[in-house]
Amino acid sequence: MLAVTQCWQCREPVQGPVCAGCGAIQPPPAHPELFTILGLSPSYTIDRKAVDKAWRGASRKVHPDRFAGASAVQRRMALQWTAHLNRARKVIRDDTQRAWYLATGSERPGERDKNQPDPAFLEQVFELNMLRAEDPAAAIERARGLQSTEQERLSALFQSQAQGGTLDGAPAILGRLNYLRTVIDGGHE
Amino acid sequence: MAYSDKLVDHFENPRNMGVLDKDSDEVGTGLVGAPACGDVMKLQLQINDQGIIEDAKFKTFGCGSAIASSSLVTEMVKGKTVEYAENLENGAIAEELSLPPVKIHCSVLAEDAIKAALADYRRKQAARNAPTA
Ligand code: FES
Repeated sequence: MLAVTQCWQCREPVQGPVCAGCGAIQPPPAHPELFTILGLSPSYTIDRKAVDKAWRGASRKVHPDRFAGASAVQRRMALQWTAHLNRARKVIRDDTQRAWYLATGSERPGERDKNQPDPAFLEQVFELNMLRAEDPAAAIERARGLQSTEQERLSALFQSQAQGGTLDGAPAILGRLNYLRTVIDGGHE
Repeated sequence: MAYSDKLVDHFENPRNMGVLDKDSDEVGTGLVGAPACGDVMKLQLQINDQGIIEDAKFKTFGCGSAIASSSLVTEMVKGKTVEYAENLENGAIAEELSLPPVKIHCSVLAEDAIKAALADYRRKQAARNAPTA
């Protein structure tokens, strides 16, 4: 649920991006919770159609066209809300980004993230990368096998969280998935 | 993105690519990964009794900046002391190659690989010098 604030224009309590009383658009929070701004509850299992529907509904309310005749400040707020909603939809629809977001509050590992995976795993990834140079099909197949194991672990973790467990183990699994994806894709820019 | 000439040079003609004997007491091996992108780097240092780095080799599976960073760092430490390598920071690598901010982690990877190789070397030396019963 979005927090209740006071409308900057008419001073009435307001919940959501637009004041029900005077119709003024409200300043978006700097770091909005992505599920909440779409009116969804945070969850790893999603229904993409429901996400799209929630995004359409929320976007309509803050669409810049609606504020075309409003002040420059309000027009800018409409654009900011729209950007937040678009990002929310993108992150939530993407399995990897959604998992990172739920586990760490950010949709990707930080540029300065220093966590090292377990050495045996790293060695395995190194070997798979070596193998990929000679026999890409075999390397990709083995990486895919490891990938599905990690994905199952991740789903199980999110399931146990729904029953009161923690997501403490999620970043390590997501990190391993990141290395495996690099093997499968054969590197990147 | 425009890359510096130095970076392109190290990427296109990497120096010191290869492997050293990981079972030698004189060789320290560091294997590290970059959580931000999933790239991995193996870096090895051959160190003599005087604590001088006689040789350095690397094998990197990663982006151009990571390859250039590892190539540059092996050049930088060769012929230098263990202390020099110990104090090497990624900032020096990033600056030398003019890495853009999103590529900083690639130079961090090279710094971490050096440190991991030195730690491995120390472990081996300590084991060798430990009194045997
Ligand atoms: S992008 Fe990962 S090491 Fe450069």
